[in-house]
Amino acid sequence: MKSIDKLKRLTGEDKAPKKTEPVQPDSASSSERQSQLADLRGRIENVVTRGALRTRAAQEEARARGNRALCELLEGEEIENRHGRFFLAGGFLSGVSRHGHRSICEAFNFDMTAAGMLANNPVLGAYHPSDALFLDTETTGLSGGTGTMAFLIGLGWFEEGRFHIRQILARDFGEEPAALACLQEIAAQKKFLVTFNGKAFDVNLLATRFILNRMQSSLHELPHLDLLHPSRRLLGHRLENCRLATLEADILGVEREGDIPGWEIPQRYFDWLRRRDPRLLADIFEHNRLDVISMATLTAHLVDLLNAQALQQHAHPDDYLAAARLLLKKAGTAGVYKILEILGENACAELSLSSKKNLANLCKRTGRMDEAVRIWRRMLDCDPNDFYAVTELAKHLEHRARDYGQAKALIEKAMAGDNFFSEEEKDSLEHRLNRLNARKTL
Amino acid sequence: MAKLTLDEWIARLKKNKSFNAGAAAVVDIPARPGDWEDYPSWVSPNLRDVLVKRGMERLYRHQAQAVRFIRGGQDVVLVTPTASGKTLCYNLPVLQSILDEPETRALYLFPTKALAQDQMHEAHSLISDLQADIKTFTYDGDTPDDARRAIRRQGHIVVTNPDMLHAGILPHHTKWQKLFVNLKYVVIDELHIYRGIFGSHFANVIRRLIRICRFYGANPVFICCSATVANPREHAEKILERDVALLDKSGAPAAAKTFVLFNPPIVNRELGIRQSAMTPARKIASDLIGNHIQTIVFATSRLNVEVLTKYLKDKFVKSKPLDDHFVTGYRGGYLPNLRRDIENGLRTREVMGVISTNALELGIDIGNLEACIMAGYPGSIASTWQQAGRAGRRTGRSLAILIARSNPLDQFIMENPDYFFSLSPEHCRINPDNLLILLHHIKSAAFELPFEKGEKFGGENLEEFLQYLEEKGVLHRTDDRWHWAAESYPADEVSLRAINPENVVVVDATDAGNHKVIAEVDWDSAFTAVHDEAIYMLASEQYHVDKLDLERKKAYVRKVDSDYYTDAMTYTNVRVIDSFDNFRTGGTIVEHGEVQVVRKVVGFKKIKFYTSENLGYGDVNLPEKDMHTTSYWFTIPRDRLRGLDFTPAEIIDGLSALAYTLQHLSAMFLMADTHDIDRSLGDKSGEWFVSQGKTGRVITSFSGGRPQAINSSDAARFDEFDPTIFIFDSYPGGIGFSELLYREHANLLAAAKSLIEKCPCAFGCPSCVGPTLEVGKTAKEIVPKIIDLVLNQ
Repeated sequence: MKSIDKLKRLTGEDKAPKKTEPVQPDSASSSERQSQLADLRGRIENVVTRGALRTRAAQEEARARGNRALCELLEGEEIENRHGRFFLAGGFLSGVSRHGHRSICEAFNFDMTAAGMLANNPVLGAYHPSDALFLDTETTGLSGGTGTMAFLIGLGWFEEGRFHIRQILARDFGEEPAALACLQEIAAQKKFLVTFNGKAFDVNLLATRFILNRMQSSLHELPHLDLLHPSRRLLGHRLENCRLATLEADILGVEREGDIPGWEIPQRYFDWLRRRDPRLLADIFEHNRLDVISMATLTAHLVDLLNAQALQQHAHPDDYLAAARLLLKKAGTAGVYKILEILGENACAELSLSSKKNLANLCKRTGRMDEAVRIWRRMLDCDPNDFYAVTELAKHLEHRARDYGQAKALIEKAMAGDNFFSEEEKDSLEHRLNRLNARKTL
Repeated sequence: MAKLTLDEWIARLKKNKSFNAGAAAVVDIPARPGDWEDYPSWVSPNLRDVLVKRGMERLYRHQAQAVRFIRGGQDVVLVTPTASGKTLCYNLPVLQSILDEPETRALYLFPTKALAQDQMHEAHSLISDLQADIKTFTYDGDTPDDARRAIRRQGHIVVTNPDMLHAGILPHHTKWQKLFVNLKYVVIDELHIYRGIFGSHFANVIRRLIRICRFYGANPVFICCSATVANPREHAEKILERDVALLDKSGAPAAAKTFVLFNPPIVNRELGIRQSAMTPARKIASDLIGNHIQTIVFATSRLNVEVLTKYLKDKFVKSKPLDDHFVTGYRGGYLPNLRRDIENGLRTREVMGVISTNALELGIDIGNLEACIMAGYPGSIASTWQQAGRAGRRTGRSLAILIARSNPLDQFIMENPDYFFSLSPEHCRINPDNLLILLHHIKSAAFELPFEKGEKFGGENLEEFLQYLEEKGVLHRTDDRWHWAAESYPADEVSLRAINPENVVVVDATDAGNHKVIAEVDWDSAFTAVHDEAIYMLASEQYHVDKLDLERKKAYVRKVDSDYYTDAMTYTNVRVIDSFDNFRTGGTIVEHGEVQVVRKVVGFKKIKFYTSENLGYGDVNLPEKDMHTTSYWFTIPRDRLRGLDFTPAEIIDGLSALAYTLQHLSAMFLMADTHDIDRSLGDKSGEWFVSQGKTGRVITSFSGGRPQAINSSDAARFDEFDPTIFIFDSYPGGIGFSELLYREHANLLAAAKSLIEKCPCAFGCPSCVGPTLEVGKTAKEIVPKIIDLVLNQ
């Protein structure tokens, strides 16, 4: 007995067909239908799986047919390099094409200093937006590890006022080396990468694929702007999650129709391997193409936030606050002014309490004390018992304005009425009050 | 009262009458002088100085031989006793090689995380004395994410366990490129642990490791260390699939040891019942601990650990204002922090008594204990020496006491002390080509690297497996390569140590608003340990299981203070699927082959603490488990049995008794745990099987498609089948035990007969044919007759 048959017995597979046998002799019609069904199922099974395996020639034939159909369905061609063949689709978007709220030309010339801040890598400041390679892959799984392959590599870059897109498809596992070589060739002409979650996923995965195919790659050595992290930082506060699709819908104004859900993608590719029907892949190409374009407009949007140039209707004051805090951390006070000017006092009304607090702190740290004082006063107008505002304003009056009387009056007023100060807060205020009393008598 | 030293204590013991009555053997093993050799010339002066400063002026002869072999690129297996400096045998060549060539990498594999930690510290302290830039890390489930990247790139010595290698390292080997490209040494310590199911998985993990090494052009030297077993070299070669040099002569000096085999007194000669091993264990342990002689007690099950810990805590902690740590339990299932605490307490002597499962048997550094008590034979001679070795690792006299239980295996040792002291008959057995295990690792290997046509993996026809997986849509063939073509991560689909990787978590719901997870139980144990109404014991606390929710994999328990614990009852039904081979002897047909086993937990007994009284029964309603495995069996035609001068019911009892004896002796012949093999009495078709019910033996018939219980006194039914005794592997697909048993058939039965005839009991007892209550009063008389019938004498 072949060991594989023993194995099937161990797994209980040998029993499976018996279950489908007709067992009820009393209803002849149903048993007949069952046997027809079983027969049909068997034939489908044969067609779908074993049929493709039957002979090498049939396999080659199916492959060739699938490849021809692919070229017809998608705008692309078979390319051959020294590692073999693969399929390359390509095209470009002209400057006037729109993607959500923006047209491509509005995404083109983003400020590289700001991009460097987003990437947390100042090296980018020396490059030009056309040095960027936007990259997104579609893979055979999400679990990672050596058994996951990137079968479709989507690339994009700006060149002469247009956004160029290349999509490299390994039509089978055997085409991977040729596909990777193509990626390496394009990447060699670019100076930095832009991805969405590429640090943890795409680039890591590609590095593994290069090693498995015994190929050299410089991909993971390129400076890398991973948009996931700055997006979370600047926009995460008002999003349900930080997936690219959510950012598109809520920030970039991109609406996708009939988009394939990400979880379906691996199975579609496995089905393609068996059935060679290019329609299985068409949706994936479109999905990947949109991802690449969205990364370009997302980059522009994030840069604009840092530079206080975002389109008014698509940026929330809180986005600017987050941007200002990022700037303060990365570049000191210089860039922050512009944002604070935009936010100004008018924006203050729209801000939440904690945002007001953030804004006031920003003003204070950048030396715009008058603005900070106005914000604190406005906070106290709404709520005279706001501990933060009382404390900050009292500190200001005591240490800078040296108006002890006003400081004292402020605290007394806050403590007099109904308040919800904690014991600690009360202690702190009383301590300050005592000191003020001492100073006054001096 | 003045405390006794261990020497005084032993002198007193030897004069004690009731002790002498039960002592089957008292052996004073003299100290043994050492045999030394100079350091080889290639050891750098710096490294030599560090070792000399630690008191290692010269190498033991076996160490010198080992490092010579290893340096010369020869794979080795070292078999020397505890505390004979095995660690240095690999640390020395590995460190020297890193000093010579800083890119060198080494991988150390230990069966448990705790051992890995321990060895990492040992290597680490050598390195810090050496003041060399050598980095050594443990890499396991507890390693923080941010540390992992550094370990992968910079770790010279990476210390890990097979499970992590299987699921964490090999499937991500590209991240470990630096390690694999420069891998010169692989250390496999405690090789004897990798036997049975675990060993069969492990051998496949090594196949995968070697395959990945080959991809990176590495060909590391394998250094294996093992406890004393009969076939270390064969075992190592079966795991590594290459020639291995054996080093088994220790040059280390050994301290004196007194080794006692103690058989508890018979308390009921009629029933042949001996006092439980737990009773003398408790008495001796509390006397030793009371004299501040640091003692480790090994119990044979988690349950016994908990019961014994409770008894000793009652004595030492509750009555006296002593630290809760004075005596403590220790077993898997305790959280890691608690275990580190206990290990540390043992080293600092804050813990004077520890009661452990075999979790402490392996080389975790717990300092030099003075006495070791084994409450029950640990199942193998190798384990017994390992456990005894935990007392007196370096200097001074030490004491080891093995207390026998009332089962055939323990009693066989007591009856034959020479057998125990003179040889090591146990073999490590694995079956890496168990089809299910092999299939799983072929999937994992394909995930790691595509298979090429003509490649070899395991002893079966690889291409057949690849085609099978291709048909299943898991692999995709392109040209002559098979690629992984599925979304799943195959290494997560199986655990190396259990049949089912799933766990059941035990949730303490005592406080309704505050549910807490207190333990995990593996899937198969869950059926017997945390069924509804079971008493689950953890850290000597008792919990009542309110509900086992199999769907959510949770057992809800509530803290109780009960005076009993529970013991699950199961039934087993076996059906022959395929006979691989057979012979006839005396009208009996002996066979081995493939069987289907159906098991079900049907109920439980409530057993009272201290008295072991049976307080009653409960029902359990859990689904049955079905598996295919390999078995050895023999069938005695009913006509021949009819010739015996006994009633049918007595004959059935006798056959059950014989099965009981054979299972226990089989475990000894193979180096197997008794739960790695199981027994059943029935007929080959699986239509009949015999089991122990609440009130007596029950024959169940499946002839109508549904189980139907028949009392064995119903003589008519006995004539409806030819009784067959099955001894089978408790793992789907089998571990390769049954063919060995098939060949040992005559020896096995002869040993059973001799054991029964030598047993001093009157009517049969747990030491020979099983408890009289279960096997009846005539079992002892009838079994030898049945054996004669089978052997045709």
